[in-house]
This record gives sequence, structure tokens and C-alpha cells, in this order.
Amino acid sequence: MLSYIARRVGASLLQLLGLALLAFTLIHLVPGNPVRTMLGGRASAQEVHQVSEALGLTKPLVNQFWSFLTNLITGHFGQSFTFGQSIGSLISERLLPSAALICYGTIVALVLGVPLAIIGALRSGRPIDHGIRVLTTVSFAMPTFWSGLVLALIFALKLNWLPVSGYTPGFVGIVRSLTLPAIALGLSLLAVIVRTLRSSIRYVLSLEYVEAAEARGFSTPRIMVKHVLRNAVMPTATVLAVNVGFLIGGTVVLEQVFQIPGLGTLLFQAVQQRDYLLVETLAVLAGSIVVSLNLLTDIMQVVVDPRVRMGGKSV
Amino acid sequence: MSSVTIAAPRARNLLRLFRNWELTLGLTILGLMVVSGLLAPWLAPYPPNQIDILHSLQAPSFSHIMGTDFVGRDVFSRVLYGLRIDIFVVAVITYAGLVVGVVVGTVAGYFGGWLDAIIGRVADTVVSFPFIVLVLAVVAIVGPGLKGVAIGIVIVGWALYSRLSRSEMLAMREQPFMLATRALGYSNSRAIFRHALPNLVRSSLVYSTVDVVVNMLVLAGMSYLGLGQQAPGADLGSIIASGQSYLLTAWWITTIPGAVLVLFGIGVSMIGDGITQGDLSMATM
Repeated sequence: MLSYIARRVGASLLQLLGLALLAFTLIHLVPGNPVRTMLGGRASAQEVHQVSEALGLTKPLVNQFWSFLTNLITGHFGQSFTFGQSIGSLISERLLPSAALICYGTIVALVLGVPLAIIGALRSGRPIDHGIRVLTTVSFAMPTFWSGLVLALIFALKLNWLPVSGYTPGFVGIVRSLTLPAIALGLSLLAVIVRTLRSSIRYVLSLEYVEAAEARGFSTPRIMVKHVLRNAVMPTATVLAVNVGFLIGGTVVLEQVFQIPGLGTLLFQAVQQRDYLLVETLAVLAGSIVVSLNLLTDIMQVVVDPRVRMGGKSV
Repeated sequence: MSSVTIAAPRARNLLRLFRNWELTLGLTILGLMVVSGLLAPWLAPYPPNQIDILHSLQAPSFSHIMGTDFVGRDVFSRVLYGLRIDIFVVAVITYAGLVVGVVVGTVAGYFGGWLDAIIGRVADTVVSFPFIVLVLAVVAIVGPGLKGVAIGIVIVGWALYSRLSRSEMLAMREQPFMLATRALGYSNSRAIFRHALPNLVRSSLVYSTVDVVVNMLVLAGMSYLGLGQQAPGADLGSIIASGQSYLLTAWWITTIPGAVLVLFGIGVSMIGDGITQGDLSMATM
């Protein structure tokens, strides 16, 4: 088990290195002088040179990558030129709204998705199961920004229940201002959750020990909770971890729809201003969140499920 | 995974009919949308960029079945042209990614060794980037426009097909017909392209029905952000964005093009579900 975990950690570290390298390479593929593009046409040659020097762009590429990497690890992300602020403080300012939106969206998806998956699995092949599948197909096809706008039209503009856009700090403020974007985000995740969970529940239901529990006369709710769902939790956790990148992407767009000052808005502004260092840092940050969450669920899986542990050993 | 066990043959036939029905409906929806996109110049009642301030923000009526936008452009005509460009771009980028990914993955799986290790690591890295974040990074470099979005999507898109094809190739490598290609002294390229590829491309084609929907949503999202199709060109995402300020007074500008996007996604998903068992687990590889 330990060797499996060590291998997974090693692979993840390699992946993180790859992320940094990819982001670094992409930014250096910018045609022409990135600093000139960033500062705009009117910057003098001297200004361009100064900024290049400050960014360390005059050093050899290998040195540049090395300092980019060490700065990332030590948390010294450097200075954002367009915001005139250190990238670290920019990120910490903007982190909470995005994190709250992702968590809230996941909760919405689970609250809607788990019951639907259970019903679909128990009544598989029946009309209600097909109905649920149609529902997930529709929710999968909806662009998050569009469902966000439709929700805003109905619940904010017409019914006046919730604010149209903006972000208010504090628990109540967060719940009020993030409810509509979180529903839009949750709907986009719903299909994957319902379909994965439904098929893993159906698989567990077909196993002999469930039949044995039925034979002993346990009630359906008891079998579901004590025997079936427990085995369906890990696949769902894995699916959530794999799709966190998808959620981050959804947040980037939704923050624009609802004007939420989060990391997505920051990334969008950085892209528009062509603040390459900021784009680079945010991209690596987002990638490392995905990598570490995947690592975490993989390790959790080994700890929780002895079968995976054994499987990991023999591979 | 688990097979469907149904006692009565009649129920099974009904289910099969439902499946076929799903596939047929999906193909019909997609076919209609492709045809109306292709025929947009003939079907559109107005030029897509024709401004008519006197008739701006008009609700859907017989002369403008989807209403008009804030400068009086006919939303229906713009949706047709938008559909045309969006379907074209999505088809090109999805299947460009598929071709690259399938070839790379098959070669990696066939030869194994260091080549496989390198390709595998690169694919892992690309996949672990949040899709939209990477596309945004590429747009930051290439500049706004469909080109940057398309490049970004292909950079990510090939990786999933590569993983899928690699794992299929690994299983296929030991099968008798592949061993026979070696025994018969066929060249590697003949073994890969004539014998392995045709057998393993199917799963990638099935997965592409999910990918088309995802790519369409990402493309629309980038255009919504103003980083895709540039004004005055029409594209479903940018039409939706242009209606956002008029959400309360002119709901049709935003909601109808979005509903068209949803319909497209439903059509493609139905085709995918019709072919497979309706399992999204492949999407989460």
C-alpha cells in the first residue's frame, strides 16, 4: 500500500512539473515580444527593456524556468504589472468567492443527483428511469452561462427573490449572491453524477450480498443506506475529483455572468490584459488543484477499500 | 458494465425500439440543424448583420420569428448563421483532435517503451489542466477569435482519444490477428493502420459524441466571454451575450439562441446514447 501511494505521489509530482513546463512553454510561444504586447504599442524601448529585466526575461530560458518553478513552490508568485499588486495577494483576495461557488455548486449537484441516481437504479428500465435520463441529457447540453442567465431572468428579474448579480461577503451574503450561479454550475455537473452513481448502484444491487440482505428481510431503505450507498461513495468521489477541472472552467464563465470578483474573473482580466505571468500562475494553480484532488481521492480509495490496495500491490 | 436483464421478450423489444427511436430522433435533430446551417444563406429571411434601428428589440412575430436585437437585426437569421459557423468549427476541432489522438495513442500502445511513457505523461499533463483555463491561456497568446479557441481545444482534445486508443491497443496487441501480422512479416505501419486502427477507432467515435457537446459548450462560452467569434459576426455564444443587457425587456435575444444550443446538445447526446448504453462514464476518464 505504501509503495502504491509513493508511486502515485511520484506520478503526481511529475504531472505538476509537466503543468509548470507546459504553462511556461505556452507563454514563451507568444509571437514577438510579450512585454511589448503587454505594455501596448506606445511603450518605449527602454520601458520594454526595464520590464523584461524585472520579469527576468533577459536571462537564459533554463534559468527562467528554474526561477519560475522555485517561485511557484515557495509561493513567491511575483508582481502583476496590470494590477500593480503582488500575484499572491491578488489570489488570496479572490479565492473565497470561487471556492465558495465550487463547493456550493457541488452540493447542489449532489443534493439533486443522489436521489435521482437512486431512483433511476431502483426503477431501471422503467419510464421514470428514462425520464431521469432525458433530464440529465438536457442538463448536460445546457451551457452554464445560459442557464445562469435564464435563472437570473426568472428568479431575480421576474420574481425578485435573489440578487441579479454581484457578490456580498458574509455567510448570508454568500448564500444569497451565489445561489443562482451555484444552481447553474450544479446542473452542469448533474449528468455525470447521476449516470456514474446510477450505474455503480446498479452494479452493487446485482451482487450476492445484497440478495442475501434481501433474503434476510431487510427493508429497502436499510439495504440502500447500509449496504449499497456505502459502496457507491468512492466512485462518486472519484468522479467529483476528476470533474473539478470542469467545475473550475464553469466557474470562470459563471463569474462573468454574475459579476463575481473571484479567481475566474481575475483570469479573464489577465487574459484580456495579456498579463502573461498572472495567466501562467493561475493556470498552474488550477492544474495543481486538479492533480492534488485526484491524488487525494486515489489515496483515500486505497485506505478505504482493501481490494484496491491489493490490486495496487500486484500491478 | 452490467448487462440488462429483462424477463419478458416483449419488454426487451420495446426497450430496443426506444433505443432505435432515440438514435433516429438524435440523427433527425442533428441532420436538421446541419442542413439549416448549410442552407443559412438561402433560409435566412434577412441578412444577418442588417441593422434596422426602427425595428429594434421587437418580440417574436411572423416577420421576425425569433424577434430582433438591440439594433434591429433579425435574431433568427443570426442564429442560422451562428449555427453554421459553430457546427463547422466544432466538427473540425473535435475530429482533428480525434485523428491526432487516435494515431498517437495507437502508436504509443503498439510500440510501448519510452515513446509510450512520454506520450502518456504529456497526455496526463494536458488532461489535468482545467479545459477552459488552458483554452483561455492559449487565447491570451494567440489573441481573441475563433482561431485561438480552436487551437486551445485541439491541444486538450487529442489527449483523451490518445488514452482511449492506447489502452485498446494494449489489449489488441496480444490478439491472434495482431500476432499474425507480425508472423506474416507485415511492416509496423501496415499492422497499425490497416489492422489495428479500424478496430479501435469505434470507441473513439462513440466518445466523440460526448466531446462534440462539450466542445460546443466551450466554444459558445468563449464567444460569450467575447474571446471567440468577433463582432459583427454571429455565433450562438456572442448572440446570447449581446442580449444579456436586455434580459428583462427582450428575453428572446438570450433565451432562444441558448435553447438552440441545448437542442443541438440533446440531438448529439441522443445519437451517442442510442449507440451505447447511455453511460457517461467514458466522459470522465
